[in-house]
Amino acid sequence: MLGWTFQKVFIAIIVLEEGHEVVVLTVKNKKTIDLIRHHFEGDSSSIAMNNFIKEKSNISPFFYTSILNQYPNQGAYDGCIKSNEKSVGIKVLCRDQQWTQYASREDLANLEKSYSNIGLDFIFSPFSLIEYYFADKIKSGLALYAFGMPNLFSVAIFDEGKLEYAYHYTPTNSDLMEAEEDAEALTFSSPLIEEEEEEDSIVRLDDLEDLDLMDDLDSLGDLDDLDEFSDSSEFSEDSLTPEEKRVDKENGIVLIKGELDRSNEEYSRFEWIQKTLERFYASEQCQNRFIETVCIADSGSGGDELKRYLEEELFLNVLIRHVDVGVGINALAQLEEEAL
Amino acid sequence: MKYSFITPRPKRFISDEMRLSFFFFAVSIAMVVGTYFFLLYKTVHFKDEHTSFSQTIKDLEASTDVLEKKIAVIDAEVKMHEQIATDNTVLKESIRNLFDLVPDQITLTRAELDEKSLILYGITPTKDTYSFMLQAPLKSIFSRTYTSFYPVENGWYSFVSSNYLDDDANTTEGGNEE
Repeated sequence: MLGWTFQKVFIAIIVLEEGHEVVVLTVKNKKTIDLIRHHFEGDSSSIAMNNFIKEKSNISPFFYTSILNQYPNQGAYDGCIKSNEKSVGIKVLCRDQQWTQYASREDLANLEKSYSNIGLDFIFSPFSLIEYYFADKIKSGLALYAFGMPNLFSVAIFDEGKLEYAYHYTPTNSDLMEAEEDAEALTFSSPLIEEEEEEDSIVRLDDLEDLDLMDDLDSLGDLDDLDEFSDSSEFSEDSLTPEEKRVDKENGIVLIKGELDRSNEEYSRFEWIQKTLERFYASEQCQNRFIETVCIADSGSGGDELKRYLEEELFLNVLIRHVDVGVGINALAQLEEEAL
Repeated sequence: MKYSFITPRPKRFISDEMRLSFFFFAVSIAMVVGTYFFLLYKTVHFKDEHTSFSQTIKDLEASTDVLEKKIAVIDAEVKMHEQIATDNTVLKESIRNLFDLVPDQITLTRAELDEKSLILYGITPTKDTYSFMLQAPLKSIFSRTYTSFYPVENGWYSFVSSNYLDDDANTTEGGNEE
């Protein structure tokens, strides 16, 4: 009733590989007053982060803390069937009476428990972010849409707003634990997904050949070459102390390792997209259609290499949008708050 | 929920501290408003009483005027009564003195006593008896004295003595008429 007199604070928590990023958006009457972002080290929510969020939540009684569900056991499927959601331990969200997002109840409970000190108001699916970032495109023709963060990659194929196929990749469920995941993920899948999972196990064996491409990347990651890099430096050894040389060498290693990580990540994403396309083409939903366009929302700054892979290897039209995940989460939170 | 898997926690736009503050503010405001209305009621009540008392005072003042007028009338009546009583006393005394003046030989048959006149009717054995024993004191009292004698069958005289007091003269005049 009196909500319009108060500021509203939307706090987005983004779990990164090396800590958390917290994005605080303060709005009043739909006008942005302030946008703050802060990085916190540590795997779990730290005291500093808790204090920071509590301090920001004291700005207004109308504060909403949101987080992106990054657990592997989630996905989306076509249609809005939710009859067996409790029996299989998932929670579903029907979107526009056309497609459904689902997530493991246990994962959601774990997520809420992990941030119980702060308290969560909204937990969003990566597929909601895909829908948000490409709201202008998913109502158009057949295309593959993806949302990528350093530790997750969600892919969905939409045709004029209709979900054709979706899969949520994480490093754990894609690289090492796919065999184990088949047994687990099936319990969180719709019948449609289950079929796709079975096909996935077949396709995966074929895809193992693609791992050979990783050998090419090894040439970039040969740490022995770093010595040469160091030797070719234009600085004379007389001007640097042994300690400085050691630090420079370490910095060089870190930089090159970062580049290698990005390359590996982009190649993994390429593989995931390729795998998704293969699964889609092998499924009944394909109906002899071909995907020509790939739209990727990337939270990082790279993507050129992936674009090149997709364009050269798969002959796709690629659109990469560099997105701010915190802003996207807060935008979804604002939409949710308006619907309350 | 459209996008979120969980529903948000209920938001209370008043914290516990704020709620306590609002409670005390509300109590304070209620007390101030209550006091205001109490004073307002009392003021109206006092105004009504003031009007009532003013009317009573006016009524009492009117009653006082009426009573003062009545008192004035009563005072006048009392004075009049006292005057009449005094006059009566004086008259009574005058009559007593008059009868004291009359000697045993003379018999009065009628007396007309007025404020400034005295007319006596009577019978005297002789004119001298009247002259010496009654006329002399009458002359000392009245300014003017007139006496008429009429002989009766037994040789006595019937007389009429008219005596008057003048306002501005204490002189005594006398005359006998037969």
